[in-house]
Amino acid sequence: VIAEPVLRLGRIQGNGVAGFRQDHQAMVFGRITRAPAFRSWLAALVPTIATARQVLDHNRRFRELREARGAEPAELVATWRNVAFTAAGLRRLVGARPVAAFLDEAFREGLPDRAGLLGDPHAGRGSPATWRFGGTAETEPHLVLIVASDDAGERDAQVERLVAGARGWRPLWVQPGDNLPGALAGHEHFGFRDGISLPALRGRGSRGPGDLVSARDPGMPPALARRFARPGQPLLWPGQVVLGAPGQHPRDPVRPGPRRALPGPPWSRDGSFLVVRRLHQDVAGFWALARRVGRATGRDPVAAAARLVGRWPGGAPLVTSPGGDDPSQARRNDFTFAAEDPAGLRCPLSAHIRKVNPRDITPEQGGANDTLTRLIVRRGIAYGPPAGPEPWRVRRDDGVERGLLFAAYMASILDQFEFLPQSWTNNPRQPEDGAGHDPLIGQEDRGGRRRFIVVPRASDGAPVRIRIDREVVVPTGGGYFFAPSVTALARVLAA
Amino acid sequence: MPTLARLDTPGRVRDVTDAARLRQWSREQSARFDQAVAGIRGAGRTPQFYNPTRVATDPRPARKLITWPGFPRALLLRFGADRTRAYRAAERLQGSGRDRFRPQDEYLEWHARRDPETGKITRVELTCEGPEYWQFLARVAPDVLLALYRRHVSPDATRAQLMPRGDYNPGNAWNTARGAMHLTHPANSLGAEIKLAADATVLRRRGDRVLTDADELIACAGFGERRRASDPRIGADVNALARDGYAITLADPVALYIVALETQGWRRPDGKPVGDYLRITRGRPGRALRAVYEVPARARAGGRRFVVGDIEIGGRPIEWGGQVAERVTVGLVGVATRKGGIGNPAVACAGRRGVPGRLMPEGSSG
Repeated sequence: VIAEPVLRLGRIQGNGVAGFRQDHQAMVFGRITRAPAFRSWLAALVPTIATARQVLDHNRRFRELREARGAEPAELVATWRNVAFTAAGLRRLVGARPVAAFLDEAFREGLPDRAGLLGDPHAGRGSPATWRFGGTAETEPHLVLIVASDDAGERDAQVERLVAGARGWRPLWVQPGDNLPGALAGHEHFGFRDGISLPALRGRGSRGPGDLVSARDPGMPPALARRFARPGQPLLWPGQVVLGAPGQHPRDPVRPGPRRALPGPPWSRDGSFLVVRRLHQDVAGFWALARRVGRATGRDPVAAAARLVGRWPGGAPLVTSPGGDDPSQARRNDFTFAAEDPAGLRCPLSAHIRKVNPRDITPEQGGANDTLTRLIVRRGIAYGPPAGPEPWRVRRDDGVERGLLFAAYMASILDQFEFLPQSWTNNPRQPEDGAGHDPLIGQEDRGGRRRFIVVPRASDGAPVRIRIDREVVVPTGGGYFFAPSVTALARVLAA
Repeated sequence: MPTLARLDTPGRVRDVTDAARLRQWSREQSARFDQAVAGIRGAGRTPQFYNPTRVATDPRPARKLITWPGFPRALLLRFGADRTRAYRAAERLQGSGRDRFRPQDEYLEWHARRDPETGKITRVELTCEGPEYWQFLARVAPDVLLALYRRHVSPDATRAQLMPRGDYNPGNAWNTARGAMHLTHPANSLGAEIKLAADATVLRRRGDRVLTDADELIACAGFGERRRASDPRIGADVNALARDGYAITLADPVALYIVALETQGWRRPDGKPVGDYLRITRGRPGRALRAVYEVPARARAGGRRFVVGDIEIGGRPIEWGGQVAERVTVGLVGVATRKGGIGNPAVACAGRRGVPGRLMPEGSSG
C-alpha cells in the first residue's frame, strides 16, 4: 500500500485539486486600482472562497447520488468562487520582493512576455496586441475571479454582485463559459468530447478511510491500482499541482519525487499556478481542414477529423477503435501508443492527443515517466454559442466569438504548461521523429506560420504529409496566475 | 549497400585530405565498433550491432534520427524551476589540468563569450565534436589542429598551450575556460556513442516481460546515465529497433550533430523576432558539428547594434549560454537493416529490482 500524503484541503482553493464540475462558469478578469481598498474587499471575499474540502465533498456526494439513481441529482446545486493573481497583481499587493521569490520565471514574467514562446503570432490575427485582454502590460489582468454554478442565473447574479461591489479594483473583461447545450454537452466547439483524459491526484483529505482526493476503481488489479485511479487514468503525486506537496518522481510513478524547497515565498505553500488562455475556435476552418485531409488520405471528413484529434467526436480513441466511433468507448482511456500503435497507423503521430500526452512513448527528456511530470490538471470550459447543432456541417464562419476558455492548474508553468507547446505541439520532431505539428494547437511563428502533419492513407497506410497554413485555434486572451491558499489570502494578501 | 570501404570523418570534414590519414581515422573508428561488438559477444550473446566495414548493410536500410535537447537534464532535475542555478552550474568547470571538463553531458557543449566591459554575452560557441577526432588530429596533423583552434576559437591560441611538450591537452584553456573547440565531458565521446548504441541492442526482460520503457531499460542494462535526456532516449530507440529483429549500426560518418536551434519567441531589443543568427561553422544545416550564435554585425534594432545579451527569451535577457543550449536539438543517426533477421532472446535483468517504471504493462487493462 502506498502511503499518500494528507493534504490541507481546507486551505487549498477548490478548482485545482477538486475541480468545479458546474455547467455554468465565468471568469472575471480585473485590475487592482487601489491596494488598501482592494485588501479590504478581498478580506470580505475570502470566507466565500470555495475550498478543496467543500468542493470535494460536494463532488463526492453528487457522484454517489448519480450512481445510486442512474440520473443526475438535480437538487444538488452549488455555486463556487475562487480567485487567483498574476505576478503583476501580487506586486501591487505585497511588493516586488516576495514575487521575486517565485522561482518560476514564466510566472514572474507573465503571459504578455511569454506568448512568443508559445508560438503565438507576433503580429496580426492572434497576436497579443489584438487580444481581448492580457496581451500587453496595459491589458494584463491582476486577478481573475472564477464563479461556477449549476444554475446559469445564479452564476450571472453572482458575477453582477462581484462587479458591482468591486472596491479597489475594476473589471477588465468578464468571460462566461458554459457546457454546450443538447447533444454537444461535454464536447468542445469542433464537436469532440472533451475532458476525458484527466490525471487523478494522489492524496487524502484526512486519515479517515476512503477520504481520498481521487476516487479509485475498486476493480483494478492491485499492481495497476498502485499507479492508476481507474483504467488509463494515471495517479499523480499532488505536488504536481499543489506547491509544497510531494511531487512526481521523474523515473518512478509509485514513489514521490525528491523533496524540494518551496519554489516561492513561504505563503505560496498550498497554492497552485493557473494558466488561462482564451482560445477562439474557427469551426468552419477546422472542418474545411478535415475535408482537405479526407481528400488527401481517402477518408470522409469525420474520419479525417478524428485523425487530427486522435479520438472520434464521440470520444472513442482511434488506437482502440480505428474503424469508427463507438459509444461504448466514449470515455475509454486505457490505451497506449508505443505498444499498440508504434508507427501511428491508427492514431497519427501528429494527432492532438498523442502530441500533448504521448503516454508510453519515450520522449526526449527521459522515459515515459517523465511525461507524467508534464501533465496538468485542465479545468477549461467552452464559451460562446455552438456554430451549429452538428459542427461538421458548418461551412461558413459566422464571425461569432466562440472557443475554449482553457484553464489548467499546475506546480510549474515553466516545466509543465510551457513545456508542451515548446517541446511537443509546436515541434515537428518531438516527441516522435517526423510527427509534424499538432494540427489543433501547434503553432509556428515563422515562414508564414506554415505547419505540417503526417496522416496515413486509408488504403495502404502510406504516410501523407499535409501542409497546414490556416489557424483553427487562435489565442485571444489569457494570463499566468497564482491561486494562493485561503490562508495566504486572509493572512497575507488581504491583511 | 555492401560493406563500407571506410568510415568517414564526422560531418565528412576535410581537415586532412590525404588518403592514408583518412584510412587511419577509419581504422580507429572501426576498432571502436569491433570493441563494442566484442563486448556483447564476450558476455555470451549474439550481437545485433555490427561494424559496417565488416558486415554489409542492405541497399535501403531504415535510418532513424534520434534527438534530444542540448541542456543537461540532470541539472534541470536537480534545480527544478530555478533555471538560473542550473544555467550557472552548467558553466562551472570541473576537474583540473588535462581532465578539465564542462558539466554539459548531453553530447553538446558550449562556451559563452562576454563583453569584458558590459558583461553581456556576445557569442555562444556550440560544439558536438567528439574528442577522439581532435586527439587524432594532434597525432597526424598538429599544424592543422592549431590552425583550426585559431580559426574557430581564438587567433591567440599557441602550440605550447594546446600541445605542451608535444602532447595534446584537451583541457587546454581554449577548449575550456576561454572557448569550446570540442567535447570535454568524460561521457561525451564518439566511443561512448558507439558503445551505448551497441549495448542498447541487447533485449532485456524482467521475469517474462520484455522491457520497452526507457527508464526500465537503462536501469536494467546500465548502458548510460539515467538522469540524462540523451542516454535513455538513444537506448530506448535503439532497443525498439532491436526488438523488431534488425541488425543495427550507426550511420557513417559516426558523429553527433546540432540538428536545430529553436528561437521561436526570441525578441530583439526592438521587440521584433530575432533573425537566423546561428552560423554553422563546421558541418551543414541539420547536421552541424559546430555553430556560433552571434548577432551579425550588420543587424540593427531601432538603428542600433545589439548583441546576444540584448536578446530576450520570454522577457528574460540571454545571460547564460545554457539559455541557447536549452533550445538546441542534438541528434545522431542509427541505421537498421534486415528487419526480423535476428531473433535474440531477451536477457534477464540482474541485481536489484530496478525502477518499476513502465507506464502500462502490455496486455493489461490499465
